[in-house]
Amino acid sequence: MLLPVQEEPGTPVLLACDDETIRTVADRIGFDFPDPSSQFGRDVAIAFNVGRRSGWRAVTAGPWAEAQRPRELPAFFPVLCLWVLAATRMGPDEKHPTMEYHGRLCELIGVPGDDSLECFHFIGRRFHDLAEWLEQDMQGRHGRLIVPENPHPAHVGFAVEQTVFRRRDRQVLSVFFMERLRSSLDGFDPLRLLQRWSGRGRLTAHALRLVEDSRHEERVRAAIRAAFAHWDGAELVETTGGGVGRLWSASVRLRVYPRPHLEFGAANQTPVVLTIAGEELTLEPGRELALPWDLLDRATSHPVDLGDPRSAAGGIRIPRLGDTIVFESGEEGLIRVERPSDRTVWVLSRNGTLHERLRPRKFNDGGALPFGWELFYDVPPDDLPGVDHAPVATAQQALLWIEGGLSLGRRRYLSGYKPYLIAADVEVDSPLRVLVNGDAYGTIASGERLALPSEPGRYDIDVGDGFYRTSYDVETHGEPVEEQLCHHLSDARALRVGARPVVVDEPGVVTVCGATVTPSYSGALPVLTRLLCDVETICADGSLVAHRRPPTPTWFKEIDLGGGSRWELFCENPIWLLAPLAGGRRRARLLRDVELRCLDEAAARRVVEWGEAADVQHGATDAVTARARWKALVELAQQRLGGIEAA
Amino acid sequence: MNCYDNLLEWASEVGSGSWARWRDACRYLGVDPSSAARKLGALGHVEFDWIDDRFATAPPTAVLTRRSSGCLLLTGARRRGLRGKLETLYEEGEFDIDLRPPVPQERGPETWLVEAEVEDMQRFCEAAGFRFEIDSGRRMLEALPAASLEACGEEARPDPRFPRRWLNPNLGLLQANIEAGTDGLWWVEEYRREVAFVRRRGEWFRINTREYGPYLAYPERSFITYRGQLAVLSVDNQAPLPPLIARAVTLQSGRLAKKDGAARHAYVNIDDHLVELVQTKLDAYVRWE
Repeated sequence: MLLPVQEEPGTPVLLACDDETIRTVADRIGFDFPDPSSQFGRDVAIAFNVGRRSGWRAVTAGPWAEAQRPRELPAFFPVLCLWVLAATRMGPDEKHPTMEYHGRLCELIGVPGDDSLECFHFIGRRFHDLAEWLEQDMQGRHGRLIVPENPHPAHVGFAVEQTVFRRRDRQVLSVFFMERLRSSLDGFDPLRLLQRWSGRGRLTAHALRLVEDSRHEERVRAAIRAAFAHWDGAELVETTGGGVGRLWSASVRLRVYPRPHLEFGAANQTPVVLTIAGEELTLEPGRELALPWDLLDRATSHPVDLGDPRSAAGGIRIPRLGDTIVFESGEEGLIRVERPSDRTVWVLSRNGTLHERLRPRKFNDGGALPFGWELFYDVPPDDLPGVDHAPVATAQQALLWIEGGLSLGRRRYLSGYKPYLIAADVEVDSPLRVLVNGDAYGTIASGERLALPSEPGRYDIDVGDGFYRTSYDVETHGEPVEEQLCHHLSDARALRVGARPVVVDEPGVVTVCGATVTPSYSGALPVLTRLLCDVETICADGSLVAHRRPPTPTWFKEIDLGGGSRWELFCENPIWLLAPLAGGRRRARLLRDVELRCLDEAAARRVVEWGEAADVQHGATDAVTARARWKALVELAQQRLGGIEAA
Repeated sequence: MNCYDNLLEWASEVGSGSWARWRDACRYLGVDPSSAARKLGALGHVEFDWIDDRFATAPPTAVLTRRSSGCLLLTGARRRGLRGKLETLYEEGEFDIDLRPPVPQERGPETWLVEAEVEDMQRFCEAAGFRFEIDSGRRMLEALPAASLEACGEEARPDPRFPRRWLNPNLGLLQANIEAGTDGLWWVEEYRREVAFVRRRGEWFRINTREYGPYLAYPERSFITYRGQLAVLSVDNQAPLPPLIARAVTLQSGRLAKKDGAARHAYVNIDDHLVELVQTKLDAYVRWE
């Protein structure tokens, strides 16, 4: 956790170990102790036999340099963490002057006094050893440790240089992360982001000096990344006893049924115990609790804190809700938002003027709401004074991002469809310069969007001279992922589940995928004809079938199919097509070269009626053969009729 | 080409993906994701798995449909360059076919038709990379189980976190201010899409294929009218046909249902037998005009 794998090998890193880091680690390993940092210090002292007489001698021992590569994590790693932890505590307090280091270190390991212990001067060697291990044995995957050439003060400077942010700074950073970063640092220069954040003035003078000094850029970036990696999502707050507590910001939800009421939940990772209206309740991770109406009244004017921020699990902060609360549909139901992105929202309000305006959309709450409050549905955000419309849902909001285009995968787009660079509130006075592949392309300011190239190629985007960097590819074709979704119509649940990725190829089972029906069609193909009259066919079994020509379908006009269109004859095995032409000769067309051996009476009468004067058209064979087949058919018909008459 | 053609082209180039990707692509192209899914599904281009929230394009398929002058309706995936490939085949003249010009439609992708001699259809499909199907709309309708509350619904109560509305069958309106214990059809506005619940004698049923909802909740009401002389099937907008039934009737022409007055939409080239099948499979009361 302290030295995570970096996206880019060799990224500069710090061993950023402070009280917050130790607390987070303790949480993750289930180490339940009120002051995990002190316990950690004491455990290190025991493991390395640290004392006033033995000093740090054990840290210098062991065949580290000679061990076979790649070596395991150095055994002295916890000691380095402890040394850095002591440095992060260097701030004004009632026991030590700001610059006092050894007193704080001794306090952590439970040794009286404030002198440097023996062998502490090995600190420089050991930091260099760790740096070498990261670079060589780990091949830079976990980053490149920044180790000062000339530390100041001597020796202690090795630990101090690993720290940028002190305890107070971590509280300010937690607000910075909540306001500006949300869930990802992806693409952003964290230092530039912090330098542009209006709340940075609340950092300690030490941290602010480093943040604004270009000589420490690399170190500060590494420190912000480390702090962000250890941040659990809670706001760190100063508690009345002078310690640090944590508050989880509550999300407020509206439930309409069976009667309207409010609930709240938070991103807490362990159960938080709260007392509401004298009753002790526990907010389990991922669950919600009912928000009593009297708390709603309190929260209209200021945030309401619930639970004990100093407890290991922290407390909950209900944000200031105001007189008009807006809810929009989210995965968890109707969620309170400050800037809705939906076309319509639900509104809970005690603003009388708004009540009048929204009267037609008032929800019948059945008397569930407290006095003065009313609930409205289907309200366009534009009808709400003072409420801004957000271009994207709150959960997706970032500072700068690429949106749109037709995505073929992560950072890959289909050519011809421009992706856009979008800027939210980037807190800059002048527009940011946008470079594409190193060339000036345009500028972007808060709330703007910039169309990006969509011709095939690779594009590296740099916004604000390194403030935000990203890249994408544009391709003319995708690589389609074959996935067949089928309706399994023989399944009893066919009408409940719809299409599923199950391919069933069993006899008697019917599946549908798009326009494909399995099993395949096994019937006869229709015969198509352009004849404008009714026709008859003589089939292989000798039967005569009449076909009435349907009117030209009206929808043909829509698809521009004109008068010469064809129509279908459906019958089993047609051999001859008979077309009586008004005012002309009768036409017989051989559809398949088959010699008929039987005819029913109707067919025989029709053939004899037409006789050899019929205009025989070859279809399936040459003209001579077709003519011979018709002649044979006429003879067969005459025999058949002769037989009938004789009978 | 319009935005639906672009959407189909993109979907064909990715092959399959999540609903979130579909939604993002639709948002970019300025079309409603649910409506686009319904349309491209009805035309047999794309399938949707509403359980895993995924889509996948269907294989390219040529459907010979009745009363279409022997036209093959080309549906399924349409990758870039497919039209060019078809035009090359046509120009080479090896097949007795007529590649008809694409027919645009306002709220859907172009209709691609190939008029072909029956003897050449199979061969042409093989050369063009299409599966050859005959009257598949009718066949899928014949194989479809008949609708009933048991076949379409499962006992489940609506999630109270989401708002809901009741379909007033007399007014044809969705109403929010209705007592929650009213029997009938309820649309619950879940995050991904609206879900249909039928409340019957106090019991709740979730109708996963929500389009069945109105037909199951109000079987006495006629939502469908058939105008036989024009071969037109007219459907009330409050009760759109369930996806496979909509596909079966859309594949009769390759044309999406068009606006039919203020509150209805109509499918073309529908014959009596198909209407009887719709009536049976939906267990619906169809008015014949």
